[in-house]
Amino acid sequence: MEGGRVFFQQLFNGITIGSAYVLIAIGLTMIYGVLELLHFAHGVIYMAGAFSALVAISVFKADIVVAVLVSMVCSGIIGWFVELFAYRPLRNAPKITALISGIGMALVLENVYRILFGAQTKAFPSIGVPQQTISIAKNVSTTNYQLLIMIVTVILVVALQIFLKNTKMGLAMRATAQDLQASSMMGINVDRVISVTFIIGSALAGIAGTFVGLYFNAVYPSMGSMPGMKAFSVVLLGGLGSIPGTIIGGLFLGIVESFADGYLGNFVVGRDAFAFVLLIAVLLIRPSGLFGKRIRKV
Amino acid sequence: MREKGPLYVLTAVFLIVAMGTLAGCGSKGTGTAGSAVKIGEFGPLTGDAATDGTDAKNGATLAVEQINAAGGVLGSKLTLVAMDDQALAPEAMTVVQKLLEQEKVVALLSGSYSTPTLTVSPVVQAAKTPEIVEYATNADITKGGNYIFRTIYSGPTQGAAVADYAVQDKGYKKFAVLYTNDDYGVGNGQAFSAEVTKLGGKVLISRNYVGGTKDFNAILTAVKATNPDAIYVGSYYNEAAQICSQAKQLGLTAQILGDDGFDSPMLVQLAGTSAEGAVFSSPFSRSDPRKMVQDFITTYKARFNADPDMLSAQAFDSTLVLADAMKRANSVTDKEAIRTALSETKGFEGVTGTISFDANNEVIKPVILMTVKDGKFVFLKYQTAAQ
Repeated sequence: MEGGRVFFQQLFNGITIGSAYVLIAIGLTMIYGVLELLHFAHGVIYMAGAFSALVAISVFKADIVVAVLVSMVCSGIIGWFVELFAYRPLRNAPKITALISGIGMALVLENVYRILFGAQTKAFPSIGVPQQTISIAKNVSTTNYQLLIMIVTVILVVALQIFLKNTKMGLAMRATAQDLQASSMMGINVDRVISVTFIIGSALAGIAGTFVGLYFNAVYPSMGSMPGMKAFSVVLLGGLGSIPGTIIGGLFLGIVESFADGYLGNFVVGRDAFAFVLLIAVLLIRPSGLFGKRIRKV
Repeated sequence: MREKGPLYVLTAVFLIVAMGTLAGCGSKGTGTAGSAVKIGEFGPLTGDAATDGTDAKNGATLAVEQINAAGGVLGSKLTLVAMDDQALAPEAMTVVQKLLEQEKVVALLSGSYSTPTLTVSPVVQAAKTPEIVEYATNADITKGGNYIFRTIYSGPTQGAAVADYAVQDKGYKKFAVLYTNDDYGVGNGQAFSAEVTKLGGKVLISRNYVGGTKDFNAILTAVKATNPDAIYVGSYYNEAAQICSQAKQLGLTAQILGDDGFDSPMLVQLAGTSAEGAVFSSPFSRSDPRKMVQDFITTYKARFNADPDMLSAQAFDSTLVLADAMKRANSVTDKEAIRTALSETKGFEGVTGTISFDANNEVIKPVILMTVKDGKFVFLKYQTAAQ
């Protein structure tokens, strides 16, 4: 029965990491939904969220709840600025121009943080909420941080769904995602919808960054590049623009990575390869992803 | 306007290239003409490994300053030209070539990791420039040629020493071996596994991972399932700290054993109390009662406002060994004579122990085992290395 316990342990590990991927990828897929744009600067916003929390806790001695809220606000604002400066002026330009603009923004922001904070990995000062191991069953344990990440992800995702289904802005966002031109003609302030989409998506990425930063006790300027790229994989797997797809995709990737690390032997390229093998497979076999609209080209 | 477009582009390109060349010329280092003898050092001064490279550079700087204060070598002052390689092989290649060709250094110090040091070995050997490797432990580095010396025991020696301690001293029988998949970790991990097996222990699980990995939960869950007595970690402090803290969270109580990559103030900063009790090999013991060691610690702290780690100590000793060889060769310019003098180094007293080089240019000195107690690194014992 040892195998069964290890299985559940790895499952837990996978769901924790998967939850972080979900939080990052949701913003990405929403942004694609309204703008039809692959937002490459999303990874740095994740990183910016983590740094905001680090500054809040180290310099302003905030507690963890305040730090998380601060990181939400900060990354939301940064996301809003990125849209305003990198994408809005190019709204009517070819999509590839906006893509390149996003990449440029990502490079600039990452290096600004590198100049401000240095490239070294930074640890959080001890916050008074230490990682505690919680036993669930014999030999299956989780930590309070892992539970926190999973629970908060669920809350945020549910809150997002409620927002989208039941509020006027949510309705506007869904309409704009369906058809930007038509929505604009119907009187929806498309600029505002796009800004809100960026703010919400970026805030979610910021929370993910904060959680991962706290969980591994490591914050550094390049921490967003790999998760950012993996988020693309998740978004494509789930279907561009589909939030349920992203949730399934994110959890799936997290679980696959955990099981691969746990059960398979040593592979030459490392566990990060899985996300990209998945990406290639999706593009080859079913480019529209699990729940996406049937599209002929990405 | 249309036809003028290409002209503007050409002008812009020309200006950029011109500025780049001028900027390159500008960074000629501190070299002023005169009797200053240039020693080159390369290592990571920026990037994720910057702590290590900077600590090493500081150790070398302190040594140079002390040597110069005592009158220099054979009447000439030493100048340390330190360049940043970001612990990346291509960068190391670039800066080493600059040091050799532009700066025309008489000797090199490697203040960098195994991969960059290994990459530049052939170039250094071809340029017949003596090089002392401060802390890179990959075994193949000294096989690059007889101009390359190393003042730290190689990875295999360390791994084997820790294995001897684990099996013979502590009686551990079942092991998990985790290591980074690079020139540093592979050497250490494999040497540990081989020695443990040779002494009758069992390696139950062996896993490697890419440097920079943060999430070890899945690997450690698999390790926990095998219930080992001890876990050997062949990695630098970033991964080691994560492994220590995540192992503790998973409820793994196995003894953590490590390599000299553990020796950094960042280990305890990142891992907190989860690093308590870890045992690792290191060339430097802060509680060594010798006056030379305690003076080094005091002056280093006063100069750099930080405690020295094993990297600073290694760099310090490497510089002293080099200066000593120059004195014995009676030359600060004859690279061949300096090389011969280096190979004849016997019983040179450094802060990391008594240094002699064997026929393979590897150092002969006892392996020190340290442990983490109350967040500080404490001397455990000397371990005779199994060679």
